[in-house]
Amino acid sequence: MHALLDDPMVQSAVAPFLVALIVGAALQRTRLAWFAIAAAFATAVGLATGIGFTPMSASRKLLLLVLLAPFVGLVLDRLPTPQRGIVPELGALCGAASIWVFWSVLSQREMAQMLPQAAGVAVFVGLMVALTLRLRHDGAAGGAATVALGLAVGVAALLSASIGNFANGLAIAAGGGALLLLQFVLNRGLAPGVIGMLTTGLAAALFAAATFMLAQLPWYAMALLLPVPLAAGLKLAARHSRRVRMAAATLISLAASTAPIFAAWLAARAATS
Amino acid sequence: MKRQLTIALVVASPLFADAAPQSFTLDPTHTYANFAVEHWGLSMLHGRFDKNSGKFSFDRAAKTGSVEVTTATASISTGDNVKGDRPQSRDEHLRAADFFNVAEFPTMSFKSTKVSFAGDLPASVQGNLTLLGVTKPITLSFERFKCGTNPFSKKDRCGGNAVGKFRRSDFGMKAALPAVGDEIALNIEFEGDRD
Repeated sequence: MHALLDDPMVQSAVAPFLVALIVGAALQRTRLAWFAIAAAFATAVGLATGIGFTPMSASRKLLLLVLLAPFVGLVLDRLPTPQRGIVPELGALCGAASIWVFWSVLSQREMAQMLPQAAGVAVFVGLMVALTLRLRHDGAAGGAATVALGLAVGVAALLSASIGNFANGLAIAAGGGALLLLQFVLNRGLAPGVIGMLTTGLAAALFAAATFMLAQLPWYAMALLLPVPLAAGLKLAARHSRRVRMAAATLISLAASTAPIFAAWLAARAATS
Repeated sequence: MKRQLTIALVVASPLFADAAPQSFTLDPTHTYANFAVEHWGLSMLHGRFDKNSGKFSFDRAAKTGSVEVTTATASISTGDNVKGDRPQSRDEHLRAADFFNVAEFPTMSFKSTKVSFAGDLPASVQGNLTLLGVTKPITLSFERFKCGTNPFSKKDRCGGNAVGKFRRSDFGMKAALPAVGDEIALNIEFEGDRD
């Protein structure tokens, strides 16, 4: 059993998928099912390196924010509708939080490099969070975006010399896959709410930004992640069944996810030639 | 009486010179922090940090001393730095956030708290190792500590090697456990000219 739990694929994909499935199934009648995404990520981190917050490095700040995101979402989901101002405000807040996450790295760079990197990362994180929050009322689109973003961020990280963020991305994708499977089997949507999509958007954005800041992900590969939630949100005609729409949203999102992966692959190939 | 005292002081001055603390600056081209770690329980992976700087001092009469070493974590080398078809080489992976996280923690350091002597030479040094922002106590034993003269500068020169062990998980470096071992064996070869 111990040897099984030491397997990297079990740590980053199988165990997070199972945990997300259990959490999602247990909470499917409540608004809390999408805590499964944070549970999947926590499982991966707990098995690989353990959950700890000292010293507060960039990776640990990232972990803290992603684990806190669903609780922030829980509060915001209880706000009376409409929540029109929520998307840009949360996006801006998350963008600012990313500066805090990566400050220990940014502060070591020359001003001429630090300012554009800080601004670029903040804008990217803010936009990603805003774009994923647009999907908070649609379980199929939310699940599709979570799977596609997790895979895109993970594979791009692997190609950019970041095994840790590869595992992180896989865990998020596994969590999204579990919730998609649940919705498919139940033939019922589970709206992610701010709980689900803030967690997904913030996690994907920070993993990608971490790979950019600490590893070798090129900035344009990071930017190419932004169309993924847009693709997931494309509306299919209502005449199609829920399951067909779910499958279509997933396929379209996965197609969009190939662009950042291809960009990361090209950059890795150029670095070796 | 005064003349006799002056003669006595002049005769004794070499002894006083040896009794005074002697301070040395590490020669970065002859100081290497080597390490070894078990891989898959099968073999020992050896590597080293190429860029080290610092100072050490000792006082033979007072039996005291100090050591300060700073190592550039990005200078790690295990002989595998060409990634080929892989996403990254081993050395690149070791520099990444999974291990030494050099972008966030460009240095690691050792600062002594106590030097113990055997005879009139240092035998071991206790101190604090700071790695990945975490500081933990560690003891290094001198397997060799010798002094001579630098044939080029004619300065006093001392050198040797110090060994010790620590667990990387104590410093938060838990990636790839247990496939890559937790216990790290350190062997710091050093030389330094007297200031």
